[in-house]
Amino acid sequence: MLIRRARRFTSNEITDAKLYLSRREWMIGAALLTLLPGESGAATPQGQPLGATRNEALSLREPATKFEAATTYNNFYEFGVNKDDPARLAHTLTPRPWTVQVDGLVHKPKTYDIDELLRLSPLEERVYALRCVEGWSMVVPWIGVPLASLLRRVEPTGQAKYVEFTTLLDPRQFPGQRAGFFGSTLDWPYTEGLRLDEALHPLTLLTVGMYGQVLPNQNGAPIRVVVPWKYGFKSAKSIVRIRLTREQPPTAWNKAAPQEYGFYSNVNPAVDHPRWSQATERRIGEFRRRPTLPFNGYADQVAHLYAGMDLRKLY
Amino acid sequence: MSRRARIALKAAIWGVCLAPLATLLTWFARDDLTANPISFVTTTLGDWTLRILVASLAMTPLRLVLGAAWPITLRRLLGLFAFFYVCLHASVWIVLDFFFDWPRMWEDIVKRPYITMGMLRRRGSGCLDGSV
Repeated sequence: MLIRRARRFTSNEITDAKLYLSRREWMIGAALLTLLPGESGAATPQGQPLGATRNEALSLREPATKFEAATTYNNFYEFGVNKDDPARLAHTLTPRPWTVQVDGLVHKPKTYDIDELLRLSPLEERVYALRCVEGWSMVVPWIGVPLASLLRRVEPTGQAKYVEFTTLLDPRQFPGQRAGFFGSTLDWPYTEGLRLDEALHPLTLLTVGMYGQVLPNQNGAPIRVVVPWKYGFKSAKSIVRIRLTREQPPTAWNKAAPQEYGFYSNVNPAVDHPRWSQATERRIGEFRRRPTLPFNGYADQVAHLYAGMDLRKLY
Repeated sequence: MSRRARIALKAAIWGVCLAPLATLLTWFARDDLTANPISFVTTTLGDWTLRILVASLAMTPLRLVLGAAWPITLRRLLGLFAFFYVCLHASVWIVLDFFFDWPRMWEDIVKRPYITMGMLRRRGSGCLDGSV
């Protein structure tokens, strides 16, 4: 007797889980749009142009890294540990609506809407060198406002000594935050920190765009900090909370490997990472390595912050 | 195992061992080796060196477990491919990554255990290859 087998599905006939789950986002988005007519029309402004005036005094005189390289070669472990994971999975993050809670040791704690932060002070474009602790670097035209303009507004109390940044914790939007076979890569949420004088330094930029457009998701949308004289991991991405503290805040990479990543993590060619030299770097797009500069070339502006400190011990 | 099966197995190993190199060359032709090609190529060649080395070292225990002789006939082929990849890996590091900057390379070798491991690998596999 011939028994007919049911036709088997091939895997490409099955609706992808991402699409299938995204119907909720679509429904929520549609619901929100009916609640908020007019003003916040565009749900995701990613890729849209963002006007800013270049701050020539604080900009490098070097050509920027190709936009394509800066948006496809990223370390953003919330999306995954590979360099191409952030660009590949960037669509899972929804950068609007977004709020940033600013609190801790301040006189005027406040939760800011992202669009309000965009209007804090005139947007500036600054071409900064970005040095990754892995030994490569880029030149990126960032757009943002000095972090100091936000901190001054909330009025830190006399006791505030440090600033802690917290990245969004949401495994639904950040696939890298889901526990994998070997457990979690980092202790989520990602936190980073600066000393208050570092945070108030004019170079420290609260960043909302790059290359003349709204910050792409894989580069830390909708809002991040950029601290150009420190290794890249100090510049926290997709920030939801900025808290002023009296004690030095715990930081994600320092918790994961304290002997490799210190709190300060200033770019320093004289202090090697335990697993590789920091004496040279490869600028993305260049063939030969180039020597790494103390404080990533910003020594004139920031070295005084560390006068009297042993930067070999406080790496 | 028949002579024909042995030849087929060896041909398959040639194919598998050359595939990573072929893939890198294809990506090179398409300018698709990430934004940091030298670092990516060095790491990929190092990964495949280790994978093939482990496979070649697994052949002796495999013979003992299976009680068959054929794994031994593959050991030398796999060992030579491991040597081939470690030579490519070291060449990329010396020529493309550091461009013959010997003092800086020496610093990295004495200070950093992971590079020293790579160098020992090369010396070690040089000895292994000399002995086959």
